[in-house]
Amino acid sequence: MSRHRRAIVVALVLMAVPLLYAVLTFAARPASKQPWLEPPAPNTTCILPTDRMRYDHMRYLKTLRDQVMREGRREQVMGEHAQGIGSCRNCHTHREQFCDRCHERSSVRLDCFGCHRY
Amino acid sequence: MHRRKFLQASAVLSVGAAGAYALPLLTAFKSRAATAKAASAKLRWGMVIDLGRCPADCTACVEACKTENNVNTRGDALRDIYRIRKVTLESTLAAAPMQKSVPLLCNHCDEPPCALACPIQATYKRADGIVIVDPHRCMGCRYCMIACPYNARHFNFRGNPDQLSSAYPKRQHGVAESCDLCAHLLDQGKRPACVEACEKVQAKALVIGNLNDPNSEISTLLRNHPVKRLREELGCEPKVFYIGL
Repeated sequence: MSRHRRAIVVALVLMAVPLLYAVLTFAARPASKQPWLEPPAPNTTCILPTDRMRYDHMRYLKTLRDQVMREGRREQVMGEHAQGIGSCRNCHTHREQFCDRCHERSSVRLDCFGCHRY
Repeated sequence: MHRRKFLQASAVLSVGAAGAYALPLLTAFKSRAATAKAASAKLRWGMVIDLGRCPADCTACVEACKTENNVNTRGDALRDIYRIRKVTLESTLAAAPMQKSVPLLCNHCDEPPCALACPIQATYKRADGIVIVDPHRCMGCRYCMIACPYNARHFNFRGNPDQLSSAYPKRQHGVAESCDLCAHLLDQGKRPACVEACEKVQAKALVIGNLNDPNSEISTLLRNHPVKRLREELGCEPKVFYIGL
């Protein structure tokens, strides 16, 4: 019995070591820096709050894309409240200082601009 | 805790969490969806081409289409793309020799074989009858090109370097392409580039309109003229009608 108990303790310690290591390195990680983005044009408001855009812009763009392509609802994209991918450029004028900053950092390859103009 | 109870509880929790995450997004999009106007099934776009009015040496429609849609043409006969093109038909009958210049484009079939062939619904028919390629989804298998009985589909063997019209996106290499009746213009209440160009050169051979509206110009033309469609016997119900074919 005691032999078993010792084996269990050893196994637990062995398992705990990498876990502990992960927890400690995570706690001691350097504060992550947000990549610098070109500030938008002054006196403009985005279609959604910044943190929502940061998390949801791809879902938002894809939903708009499907509305336009599949259902022919173009008003939001072509109309006065233009919100398609091209209209980001109204405020964030340079793609290299806006889209590319984060996507290059996180190694996300963008397919948008093979066809769409920014 | 019993295993069953644990599984039930975790299922409830995960559904709840997913809902809580998705809800703000869904409500945001719903409010937009309610106000926007979609391609309606009341519309059924079709085209009439009056060959008597189409001059043999005129390529205004082809050029206008190229510019409007950023069509990939570089003078390479094998790989050039034509959403609309002109061919010359000749009769070999000695008794009735004739030569006709015929514009060919996607026929926007009611039963589109390309959409049937597409394995991922990248090609589909919109509610208003326009057959359209979604280049975001197209993976370039080219089944639609094989399925199309009109040779109206082309493949972007190379990416397109030309940005001729700023309003319309280009294509990357590896997607199929065909005429979409300038859906981006029709949705804004304008007419396709080829129709506009044809009118500009005083030919007025191309007429676009709503086939469901009995008072539209196109319906009147169809009532008053004998029309033919290409390869009607295949049963894919094309919506491009030719007068004087």
